[in-house]
Amino acid sequence: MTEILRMKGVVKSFSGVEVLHGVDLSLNEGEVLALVGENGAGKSTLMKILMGIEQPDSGEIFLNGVKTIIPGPAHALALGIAMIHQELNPVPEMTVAENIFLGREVNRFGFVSRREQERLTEAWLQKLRLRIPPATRMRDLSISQTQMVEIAKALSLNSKILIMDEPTSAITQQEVNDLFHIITMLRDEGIGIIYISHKLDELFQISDRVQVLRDGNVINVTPTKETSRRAMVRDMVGRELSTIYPTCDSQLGEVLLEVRDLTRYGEFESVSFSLRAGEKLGIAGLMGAGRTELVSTIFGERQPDRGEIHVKDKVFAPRHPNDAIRQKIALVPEDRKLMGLNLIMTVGDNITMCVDRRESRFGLLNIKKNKEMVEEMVGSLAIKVHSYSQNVENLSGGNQQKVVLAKWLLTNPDILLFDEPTRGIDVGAKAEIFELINSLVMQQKAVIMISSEMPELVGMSTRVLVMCEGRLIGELSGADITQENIMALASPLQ
Amino acid sequence: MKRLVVLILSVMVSVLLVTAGCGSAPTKPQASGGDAPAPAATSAGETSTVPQPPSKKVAWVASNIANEFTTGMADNAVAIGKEHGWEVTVFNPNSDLAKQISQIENAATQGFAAIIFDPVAFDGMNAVVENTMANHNIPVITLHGSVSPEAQKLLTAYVAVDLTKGGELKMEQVVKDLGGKGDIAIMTGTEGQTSALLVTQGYDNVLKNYPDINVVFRGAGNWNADDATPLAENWLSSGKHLDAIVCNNDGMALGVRAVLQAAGLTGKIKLYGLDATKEGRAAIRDGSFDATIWVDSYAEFVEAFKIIDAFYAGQPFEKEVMVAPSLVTKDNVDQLFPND
Amino acid sequence: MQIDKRAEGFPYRMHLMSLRSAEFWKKTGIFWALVILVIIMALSQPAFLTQQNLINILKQASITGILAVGMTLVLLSGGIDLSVGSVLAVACMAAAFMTTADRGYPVIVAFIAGLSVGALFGIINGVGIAYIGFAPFIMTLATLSAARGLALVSTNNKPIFNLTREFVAVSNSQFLGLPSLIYYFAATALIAYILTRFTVFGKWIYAVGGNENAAKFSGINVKRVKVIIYGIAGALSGLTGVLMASRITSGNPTVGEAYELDAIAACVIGGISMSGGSGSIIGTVLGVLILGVISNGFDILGISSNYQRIMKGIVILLAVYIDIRARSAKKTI
Repeated sequence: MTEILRMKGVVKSFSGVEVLHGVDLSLNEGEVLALVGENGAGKSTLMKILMGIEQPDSGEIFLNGVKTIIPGPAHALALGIAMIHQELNPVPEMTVAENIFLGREVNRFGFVSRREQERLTEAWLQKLRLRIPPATRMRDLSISQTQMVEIAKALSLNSKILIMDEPTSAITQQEVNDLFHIITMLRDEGIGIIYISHKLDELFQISDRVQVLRDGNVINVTPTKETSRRAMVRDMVGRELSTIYPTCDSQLGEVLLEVRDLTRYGEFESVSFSLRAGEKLGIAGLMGAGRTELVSTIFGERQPDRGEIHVKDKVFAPRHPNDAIRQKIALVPEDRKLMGLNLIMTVGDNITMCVDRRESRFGLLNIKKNKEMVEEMVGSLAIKVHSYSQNVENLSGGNQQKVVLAKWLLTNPDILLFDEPTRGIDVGAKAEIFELINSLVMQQKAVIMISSEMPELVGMSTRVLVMCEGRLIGELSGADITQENIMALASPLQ
Repeated sequence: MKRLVVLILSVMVSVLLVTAGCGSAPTKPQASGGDAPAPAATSAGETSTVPQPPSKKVAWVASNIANEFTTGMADNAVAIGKEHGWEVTVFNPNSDLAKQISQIENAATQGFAAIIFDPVAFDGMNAVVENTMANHNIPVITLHGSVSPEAQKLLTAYVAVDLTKGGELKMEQVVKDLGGKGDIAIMTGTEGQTSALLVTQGYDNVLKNYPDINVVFRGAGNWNADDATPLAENWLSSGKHLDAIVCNNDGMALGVRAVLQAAGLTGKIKLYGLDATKEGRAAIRDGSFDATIWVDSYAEFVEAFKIIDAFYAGQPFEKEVMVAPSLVTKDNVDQLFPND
Repeated sequence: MQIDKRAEGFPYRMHLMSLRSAEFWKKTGIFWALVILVIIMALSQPAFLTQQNLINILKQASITGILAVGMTLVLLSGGIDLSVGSVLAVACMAAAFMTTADRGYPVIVAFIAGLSVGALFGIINGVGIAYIGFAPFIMTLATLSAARGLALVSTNNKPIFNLTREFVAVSNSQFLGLPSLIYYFAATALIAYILTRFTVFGKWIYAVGGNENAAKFSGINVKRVKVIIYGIAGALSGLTGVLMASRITSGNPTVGEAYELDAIAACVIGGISMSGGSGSIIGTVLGVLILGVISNGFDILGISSNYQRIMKGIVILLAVYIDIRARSAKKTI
């Protein structure tokens, strides 16, 4: 095995604060190196330095043993280093082929040769065994397909080092399997892959070595086979986390929510279930199974074509989320940046958003009361902020999610709908959110949790509903809740 | 929510009432002189009746400076002012009435010795004229355009070309050229503007005596060739018969000329302008215009500065000066403009 | 995100200070720009700093100022209103119509007429945008054209004149030594400041502008909020129409042409984000004053208004540039 990349003693400061304290990293040909650490551990900064987006204050980079300076991202690409970003940014109106050749169009006499571009694209896609026509517009692709196109783009650039930042955060289990297949294939062709993820289970599946960063220091580098999940978490968090899924024995109470024959054509059909106080109901399914649409409908964000919702034995036909809030229903949406938060608003203003009117007098904000509520929430959820008037966009994913939770807890809801509550947040914050969910059900609240991460559903739910292609096709409870059973139900063509 | 709206509305209404209430005591026009805050008023030369100019600056507040005629006006203002020993500052409100009012206010407070302005609108100037005349002892003169009779009473003087007369002269020529019978189109300046209204009034004064002249189209070309061109194109493509197109100024007529040329109708449809700008005169000479009216802004400014000089010399002057317009045709163009 | 970790390991007050200094310049930069502009004007033309001239600036900025306040609310909500100048003209005609000497209705009738005409146009804009789904740019562009046409056909292009003295006094009188227009502007700005800063509705404006989806998910009736915002902006255009009719002592259908651009320029200079959700009324007021100072200063320096336009363009770009810099500075901390 030959070493293709070595970063040595990398130090980087921002505004006089050192965030990387001499970090080393080495990557071999045909190897998957997992880079893990909590948000803020320095992974992103380290990768930005490798991509030439940031320059190190000191330290060296060796490519194939040769000392190299990477002044900018274009240079990194030319050196064969490519990165698949966590938040993909294709040009949605362009075709797959146009995106792959963006900025280096195949041209003849200055005119883009579309046919030639599409032919080359097809070849790269075939190599990845993807059946996407090169003339498809990017906006018509799913997240995972977009990701594959990005990978194809990296391959077309003849990249030898591929950085993947949270590639599985927004795709389904099936797609994850496809992705891993491709990663394995690329590795076997000698490409070195740096794989960043919060999902520790996948690292055992895919990586050869694990490097743990904490607070800008390398804590541990070991072959994956020789470490355990528990050890990894300890290295990342710096303390022992007894268990990530805390147990709780809540008593089931009355039925709070009942859904009968709920249908929105094209999204979900004839869904019926009930939810009791003190219950944690998991909803499993692949991307596009209609889960998000279902909870959005219960929340009044869209209206059903057929069927009824009952809240505490009364018919509930919400026209607007505001109706749901009045019925003490809360929704922590799937995408906190798009639906959960106003990123350019302060922490405090976001937290009180849903209760401003309740606390107001003559339309005036109750600034004093709001401040007290914010203080209480920031304290009880341990949200890390510099000040309450800091904009939410500057918080880490986990803290942003806690702001969303705080916002909804203030409405004092009885029914909480969590749509992918832990997407893209680190282990520590995940555990805190699970503990919070448990404390909510202990107070006889009812919780629905949608998740694409099977271990989460298995670890947390008292009951799991499985959806497939818009239909409720199974219900698991007690000892039947296993990853295998969920997978068996969730996959189509069965 | 409702409470909030009620709260806001009630605050707004009470503010309105307070200010509207205090508005019931408008500034009264005062006798001139006295407390005028002209900085030079304290200088030794002050005598009982003859005012002293507060500075050597005169403001020319145009209506809009966008075509050859208005540019020529500004040049005339500066040149003639210089001959009379004044430094002329040109203001261009771009046909914005409120902006022109602001510029007049600024000029008055800034100690200009005189303000000459071409009003953007006939009826818009009452309050600013009233305030300026009440608070500043300087000559304020309208030139070219005019203001409402109430404001005119307060002004030091006004100088104008009789635009209605010009419109009449021109339309009489049209009638003569067409032999008292035919289909015409009238292209006016910006709608609602004084000078457009006055010139067009002149047309109508003549037309009412000739029922056989049929006005097929009336439209606004906004004083410029850009807007005149598409308007004329639309008229021609309507398929209606036209014998003549009569424009409120030369600028628009030049735009129409291009359209006629492109359609091969030069000479077949007669074309009339107004202003006798340099290009307009050339068009008269080559026959692409049939007639225009010479609006002599040079003569207007000469009269205006005579009034300013008389004002500061304590001599009597005419309060209303009308400069006569003259018809320009191929026959007399070389005689009127021998230097072209 | 490195921020949290460093905040833990570092004395966090120091961090706060550096944040605050960037914030400080971002928040007050436009104020210093105004101060510098005033100093430059005062040095090059001593008459600039006379009391009378400063009052003139405030007075002349008032009409654009009221429009800009309405525009600020619309921009904060993530929209734009191009129709304000035309709506001003319609309201101007309506107010003049009510107060001609022969009709002679009291002044308050002119206000009611102007404000309701304006609000009506605003609500039409709001409904078209929120409920039918026209893009704000398109909807208000249509209103811009239609309202101007309506103003012109209402009297067949002719101005309405000979208004009652009581009505003429509305914009042309003084109170405690200051022209009445200044009070209208000050009152509008103050109410809008309170609205945006201290009321639930004000917060909703920011919420809708910052992230419409999140606002909806938080139970805010986004559509209704938008209709109200455009309604307020329309009513403020109506108010300026009334004031304009009084100031020009007539109803003139051609007034207010391109005023929407001045209002937008004032907002942009004042740091209102064109994508919505950030900015403040104070910024807008400063932006209005900067435009007022430029216009007045150039007039009294005797510089052609054509140069004023160039200068305005430069100031707009400069203001946005400072804003961009302040933003990126904040990010890299």
